[in-house]
Amino acid sequence: MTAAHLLAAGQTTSTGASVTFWILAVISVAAGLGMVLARRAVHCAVFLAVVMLSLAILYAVAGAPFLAFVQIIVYTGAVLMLFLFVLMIVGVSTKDSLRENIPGQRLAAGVAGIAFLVLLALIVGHAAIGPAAPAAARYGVGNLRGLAVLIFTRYVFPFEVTAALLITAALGAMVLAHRERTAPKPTQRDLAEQRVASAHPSPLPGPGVYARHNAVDFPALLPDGSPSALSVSPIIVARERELGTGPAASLPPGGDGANGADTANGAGGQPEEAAGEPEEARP
Amino acid sequence: MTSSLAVAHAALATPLPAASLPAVGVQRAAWLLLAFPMAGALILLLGGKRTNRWGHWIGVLMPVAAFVYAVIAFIAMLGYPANQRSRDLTLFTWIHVARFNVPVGLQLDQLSICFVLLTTGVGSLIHIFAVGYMSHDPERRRFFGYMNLFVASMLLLVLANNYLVLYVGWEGVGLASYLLIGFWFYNPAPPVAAKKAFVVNRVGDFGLTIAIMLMFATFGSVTFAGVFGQAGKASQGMVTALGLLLLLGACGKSAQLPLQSWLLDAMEGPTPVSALIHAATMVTAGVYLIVRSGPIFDLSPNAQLVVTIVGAATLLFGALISCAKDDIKKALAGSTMSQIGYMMLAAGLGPAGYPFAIIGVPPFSGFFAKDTIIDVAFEKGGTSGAILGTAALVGAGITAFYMTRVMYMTFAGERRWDAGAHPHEVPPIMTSPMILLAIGAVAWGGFEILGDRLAKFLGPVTGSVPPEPAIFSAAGIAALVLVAAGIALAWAMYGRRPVATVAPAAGPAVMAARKDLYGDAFNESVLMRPGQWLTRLSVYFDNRGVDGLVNTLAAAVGGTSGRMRRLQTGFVRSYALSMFIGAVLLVGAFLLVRV
Amino acid sequence: MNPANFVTLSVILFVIGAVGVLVRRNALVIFMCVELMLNAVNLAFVAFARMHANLDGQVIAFFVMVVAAAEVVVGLAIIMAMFRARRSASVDDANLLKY
Repeated sequence: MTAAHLLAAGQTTSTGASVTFWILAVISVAAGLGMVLARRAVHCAVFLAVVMLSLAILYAVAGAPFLAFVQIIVYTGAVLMLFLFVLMIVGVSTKDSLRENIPGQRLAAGVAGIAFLVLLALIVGHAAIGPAAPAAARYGVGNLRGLAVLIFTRYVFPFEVTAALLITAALGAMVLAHRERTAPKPTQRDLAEQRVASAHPSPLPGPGVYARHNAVDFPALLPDGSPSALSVSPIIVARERELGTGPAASLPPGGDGANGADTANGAGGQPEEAAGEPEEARP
Repeated sequence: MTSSLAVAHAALATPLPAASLPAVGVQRAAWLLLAFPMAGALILLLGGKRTNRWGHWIGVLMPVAAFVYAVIAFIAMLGYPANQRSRDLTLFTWIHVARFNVPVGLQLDQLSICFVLLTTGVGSLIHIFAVGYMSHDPERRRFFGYMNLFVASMLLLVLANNYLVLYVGWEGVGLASYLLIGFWFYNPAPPVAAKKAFVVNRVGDFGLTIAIMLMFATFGSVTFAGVFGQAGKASQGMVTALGLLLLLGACGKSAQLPLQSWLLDAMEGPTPVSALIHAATMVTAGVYLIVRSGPIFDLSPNAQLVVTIVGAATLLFGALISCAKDDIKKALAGSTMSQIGYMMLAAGLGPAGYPFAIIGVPPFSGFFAKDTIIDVAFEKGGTSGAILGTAALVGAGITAFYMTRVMYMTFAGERRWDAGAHPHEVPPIMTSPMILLAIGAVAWGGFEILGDRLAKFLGPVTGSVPPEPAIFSAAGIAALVLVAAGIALAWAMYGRRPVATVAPAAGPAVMAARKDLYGDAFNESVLMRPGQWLTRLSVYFDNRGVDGLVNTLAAAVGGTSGRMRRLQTGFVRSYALSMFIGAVLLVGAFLLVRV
Repeated sequence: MNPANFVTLSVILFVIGAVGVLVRRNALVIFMCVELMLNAVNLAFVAFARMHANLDGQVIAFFVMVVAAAEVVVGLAIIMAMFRARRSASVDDANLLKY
């Protein structure tokens, strides 16, 4: 069964490879569990990155150097970063609540998971997984060449189809993310007219202007020496008020409508989930 | 074909009808007999209201033209020797499927020419009468269309040379009878009567249909020549069955027991209809069928006995009903039933001439032939002969009684009509046909029975040679005595005393006769009520059982789906869980199969 | 290397990812668990490629990566649209197909 396979295979493996494998196996399983169990979404992303990196090393050990680099560059570097971007839009500090809505879901998922594990282990145990093939050029320097030959001869049709799929996916993302303008795009003239008609026609002061420091959370001073609440992002204001410390903590709460409206769709938005959580940040 | 028939002929106890020769000369146009009235019917019924002004003359012309041709064909037939008078004329092949071959063919022999002359002759006179009778009716054209349809169907019935084409004519006359009884369909009674006539006839048609099917199954043919030629080879049981089934069909058409209930209701139709269809022609179609199928009945004495029993029972039945009817038409309908009973009795006893001696306008000419029937009945011998003969004798007496009663109640005594009614003589267009018919009825009876001409004429067809009649045999004298007694009784009861304007209260026998001897009540209680219960039972089972089953199924499905719909929680994660569990099961199944 | 070990590791990671999909509520975290499952499968393919001594498994793993990338693009666009519509990234909030 599995033990026999292990023993038989272990004799043809170098100690370096097996040590690498065992260390990385433990790390990746731990990171996987951490990913599933972490409360903050950002932590999940970081754990996933750990898993992906350790898998990349494992690919290298298994004789797939090209794939290892692709894993790091494309998967971890591009795909996971994409995840993080969306996470930032959705809310970096969001925390899942621990309460489960659907009765019996966790229990059933746990039982099914264990059953699946057992079944797959049985399958793997019964399958005839032989030893690794001896080292050959295709696992080293010739790996890229070998892959290229395969992709462009035997697998050229899936390759073309996958290319079409990528194009379609890009188009699909554009369509989904598109927001139709319901009003015509305000021209520069419109914006200027709005500004003149509003309460402060002059440009808003940037943060740190007229201040002795140029940090983001230092409010600007108005001509009469009082700090201007408009010059600091209301998020920072709210945060520092919560923390109770910081240069913006003493500012009055909330900017006026103009400042708040600009950031409404951006990082200021927080998900409404987990209403019972005391640490939820609110703009 | 002739030689094989001769062989079969020699093998049978009674001789078969002579073989048919092909029609030659003027008889080759025999299809005209069908074409004339059919054309009339088509013109009048399809032409519609446009033909209203002159339609009735077409309706009269067609039967007259057919009668003229019939006379010509009859004269041609008389020119042939007696055993060569049966002529065949095949018009076309109707059905030809594997072994089943049915031609549309006409058989002109002595029997059919008799009926053709009767139908067209009497029919023409009645059509002329109807021109006057229906002159105030706006639907006169439609009436003549239906009458022509009837004449065409009746002629097809009697001229057919096989049972299937005969059946077509059979159904045609049934249809025409239905249309004509219910002619005044906007009144309440006629449509009901028409429906009753049709349905009761249908019961009889059932017998005829099965008989035709049995003929094909047994003999492989439905033509007269085919069936009669091979009748000797069938088993006794089969021949008896055929005979009884044909009798059932005949009972339906001829209003014999047990299918007699429709005839009195059929008087709801206009009087020309009652005269032509329900007294002279259609009701004799049943007797025609029995006589035509003589070779089959000759082979089955049991069937013949049943025929005589039916005839004897019906003649008494009809006579008793007529005694208590105060409507002239209903009394005459009962009389018709009784006279046809006599014809059935005669047909069952054997000689073919005697049934047709009563043909004509009943009941007058038939009176002369009763003596011979009574004689033959007694000559049959044994218990059955005695009973049948006595029944016929008694029937003769009762006939005399009720006819005299009708005559006295109608024509004698003080005037009893309402103040506003003005009875008057009808115009000549109506009186001339009636005078002709009356002369014919009286004279014909005497002409043919003295000398037995009709029976001898029909001899080659029916295969039997009738005995010479004795006018003053013992039975004949007994009959005369009973007739005189009946007339005297009727005079005593109705001729001497004033006639009541409303039917007086009477004893149970008279009450029974007024109610058609409970014929309708019997049908209702024995046939209709069980049928109704069966229907109600079926409906109950359908509603509770079948519908219940279906509804329960539907409710089960609905209930199950109501429960199962709770699986749709709307949460994607629970759906994902279901999919995952499914995947687990699949993998488990793979494992089981492979391991 | 020992392909059997690799496959076992792949199985474990796959099951962890599957359970994660079922248990987590945040759409992005669910998506990340799906990515974990895909990665586990990739690992198995690479191990089998080494075992059979040909590169087909690696090519397939390569294609899986490409398709996973495309899938991530579209999936995140969907999550963005969902988020814009209801200001929430929880999949439990999209339960309008409830009976």
